[in-house]
Formats: sequence, structure tokens, C-alpha cells
Amino acid sequence: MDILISILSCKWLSYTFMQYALLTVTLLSIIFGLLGSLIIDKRMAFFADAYGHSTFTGLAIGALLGISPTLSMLIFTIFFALGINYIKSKNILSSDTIIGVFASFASALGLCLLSREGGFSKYSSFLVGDILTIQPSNILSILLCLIVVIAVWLSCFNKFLALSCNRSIAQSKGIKYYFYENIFTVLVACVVVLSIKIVGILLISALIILPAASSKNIARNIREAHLFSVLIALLSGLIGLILSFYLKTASGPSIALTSSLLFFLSLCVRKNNKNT
Amino acid sequence: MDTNTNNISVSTSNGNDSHICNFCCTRITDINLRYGSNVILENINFHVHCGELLTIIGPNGAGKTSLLKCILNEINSTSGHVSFKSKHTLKDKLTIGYVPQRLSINTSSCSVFDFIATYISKAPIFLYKSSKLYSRIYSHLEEIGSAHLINKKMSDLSGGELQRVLLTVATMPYPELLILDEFSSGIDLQGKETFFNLLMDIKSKQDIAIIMVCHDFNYVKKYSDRVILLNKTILKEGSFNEVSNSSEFKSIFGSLSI
Repeated sequence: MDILISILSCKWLSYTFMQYALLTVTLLSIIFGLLGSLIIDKRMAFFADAYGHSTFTGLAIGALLGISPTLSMLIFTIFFALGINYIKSKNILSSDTIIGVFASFASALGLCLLSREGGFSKYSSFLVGDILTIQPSNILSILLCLIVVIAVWLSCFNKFLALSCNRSIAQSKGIKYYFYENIFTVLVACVVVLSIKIVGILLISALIILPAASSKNIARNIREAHLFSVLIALLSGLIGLILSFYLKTASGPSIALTSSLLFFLSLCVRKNNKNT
Repeated sequence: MDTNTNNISVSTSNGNDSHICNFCCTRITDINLRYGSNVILENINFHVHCGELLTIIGPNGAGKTSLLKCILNEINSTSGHVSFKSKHTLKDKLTIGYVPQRLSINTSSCSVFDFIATYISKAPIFLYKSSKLYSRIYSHLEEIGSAHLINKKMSDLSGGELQRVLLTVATMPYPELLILDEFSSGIDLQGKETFFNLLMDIKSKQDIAIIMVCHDFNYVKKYSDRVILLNKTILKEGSFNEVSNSSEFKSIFGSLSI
């Protein structure tokens, strides 16, 4: 009862780090909610995961060169993602093999470099994320990211969807495949890098996929799919954050856990809809 | 209804040459396609007039789909080009409508409206549903006889319904050349008949050229104006009877009783 009152009276919001966390989680939820459904349609769930793993190498390179880790992760992951796209376009290997090879390579290299002289523990917060480290500058960069995502979505979403439904029809309508494929890839890579510090490498793809997957269970068209996906992401972000505060758990996993529970709930709703 | 017209009277569409406009012509010139030393297509030369239905037949691995993708410019052929001549001008870029065999991806959250709108409109469909666009799509679906499908989910469509939606996308706006890739697989008999009648209707009313790949020789015979037998290169070209009586046809397909 006390906890309930404490939650409702927003006691948890009296801490600055929780205010930052709430703001960040809200912004990230909107981004994940928007990106998710297309990532599922394009079967790119494991690509997002691979980008996440490649940030290890980016991080290590940043540490070696003494430049900002965010910048080095961003640059490396974009190159990594475009590299995967290029190899994919050659049609030599199936895409899951490509991801397997590339993601293992990048994370192995990164882990080797980071674990030199036993220094890895410094970076363990990257695995599950740490909301305590959020600074106003992080929030600003995520806000910027959200604006970019919305702008790209407004201008390119139809083309992304057209290409993912059928490339040949899209190309016969004059939509350029590689151009839009690369824009999408770079966008996902940027989102992954900017959010990795907060949600962690292990759960990044879960947070992108789960809200969109839940919304697919109940949506009847694209507009509903996007709306529900963003709402579910926001809801699980909020609940997960509050849970993590009171249960003293890591926030990334708490959000992912809430998200998974909402997914199972949506599955039940879908079953009921089908039965009636 | 068309069910009354028997095979013979419809197959005289070969004689309907007066309907074929001899001015516009899509010409495929010297297409060659190789992957390394592997020859996929060799010396492909043919043309198709508007108002004409050209069918490409051939065994598996003959390069039928590759040829279509060369025409679609999805694969860059090693040499050769596709050009389009209208009454007055010669141009290399023609508008093409493409009806694939099937959709490769799970379009679970798309309604039919969403699906069509992504290809023909710039208005972000995840945000709002433009009523102008909706009525445009509705009336075109009506022409294809599928207006009732507009709010259905793509994942709930039957094979025949899906093909009609794909045809709607390909014909919005009506292209100069319509390409259909093995569309008859996965549709029941009645669905096929309806679809071909639709195609004939579009062909004559809109006067567009159609290239299709089809394995169902009954329909090829009934509806094609001209047939090309392809096996890496063009083995035989002519009416279905000419092609099916040729030795090249018999060596590939045997003597079929059609």
C-alpha cells in the first residue's frame, strides 16, 4: 500500500536521475515503437542485435585512440552495418550466416581489446545499460535522434515498406533499393548506438522488437500498428522504470520484462479476437 | 458470359491483329546475361506491341525470371538493352507494372489499402489515411472487381484475391508494359478464369503490352497472341500452335495432348 502511494505520488520522480531516466525512456520508447514494426517486417531483428554487438569493437577502438566512445561506436557501427549490407547484396551467403559471422567477429574483437589487462569490468555496464549515467547531453542526443527518425519516417516510410513487401514491384515503380536500404540501416545503427548505454547490448533488440510484435497481434492496419506499438513501448518503459526503482533491478531488463509480459497479454487478446 | 465461348473462338485472338497498335513497340535488343562463365541468357531479341499478350514458356532454369528481371532493370544484363517506341518518340525508360508470383514477406499488419498506398503515394501511411487516396484506390480496385477487399488484412487474402490486389498495384497508373511472373500458380480454376478475363479486358481497353510467364498451356493457348519458347536463348517464336508443334518444343516438353 505504501509503495502504491509512493508510486502514485511520484516520489520516485523526486530524484534527478529518475527524471532524466523517465525523459530518456519516453524518447527511446517512441523511437523503438516506430522502428520496430518495419524491423520485424524486414526480418532484421538479429541485425539490430549484431549492430549492438559491434559496438564493443567501436568502444574498444575509441578507448585505444582516446576519442569519445560514442563517436567511435557511431562511426564503427555505421561502417559495420553498411558492410553487412554490401556483403548481403552480393548474395553469396544467407543473411543469418552473414550476421552470425560478422557479429561474432565484431564482438570477439571488441571483447579481446577491452579485456586486455583485465580491464573489462569497467565496461560491464554496457551489457545491461545503466540509467544512472544519463547526462543531459545524452538526452539531447536522443532527442535529436528522435527528430531524425520522425523526419525520415515521414519522408521515406512508404518506400521502406514498399521495398520490404516486394523489391521488384517497388523497383518497377522507380524506388531505389540500395539508397533506401542504406538509409534505413544507418538509421537503425545510430539508434542502437545512442541507446546502448541506457538499455544495454544484451536487450537492445528485445526492446525494439517486443512492442511492435505485441502491436501486430492486435492491429488491423499500419496506422494502428504504429500507434499501438508506440503506446505499448511507452507503457512498458514507464512500468519497467518504476519497477526497477522499487525492486532495485537494472532498468533495461525490467523494461524488457514488462514488454514481454505485455506481448503475452496481446497474444491472449488476439486469440480471443480470432475466436469471436 | 465468357464461359460460353469455346476454345476455338477465343483462340482466334491471334487473328485480332487489327487491335494491335503497330506504332508502340517495346523492343528487347541483344540481351546477354552471364555470371562468370555461366551463361544465363544469350542473344535475346524480341519485341512486343501494345495491346499484345506475349507469353514466355520454357523449362525450369531456362532463365525466364532472369529475363523478366533484366527487363525490369533489377538485374543488369551483361549487354543489350530495352527500349520503348511510342508513336513519336523513342525512349529507354518505359513505365512497367510488375505482378510477382507471390509476396516474400509477412505483411501481417498491412491492410490492402496500406499495401497499395505504399507503392503509389508519398503521403506517410503510418500517420493518416488520405480520403482522396482512399477513393482513388477504391475506384481502381472496383475496376479489378475487388473493391470489397480494401479494408481486409493482406495476410487474410486468398491466392486469387492477392493476385488481383497485386494487379491493382501494377496498373496504378496503367503502365506501358505489364509483366506477370508465373502468377497462375496457387489460384483455383475459377480464379484463373476470372483473372485472365480481367487481363484481356485491361489489354484491350488500355491498349498495353503484356509479357507473362505461364506454365499452364491451356491458358497460354487460349489467351496468348504470341509465344516465345525460351531455354537460355529463344528457341522458337510464333503462335502457340506453331511453337507447340515445333521439334524444339517437343524435345523439351514431349508431346503434350492439349
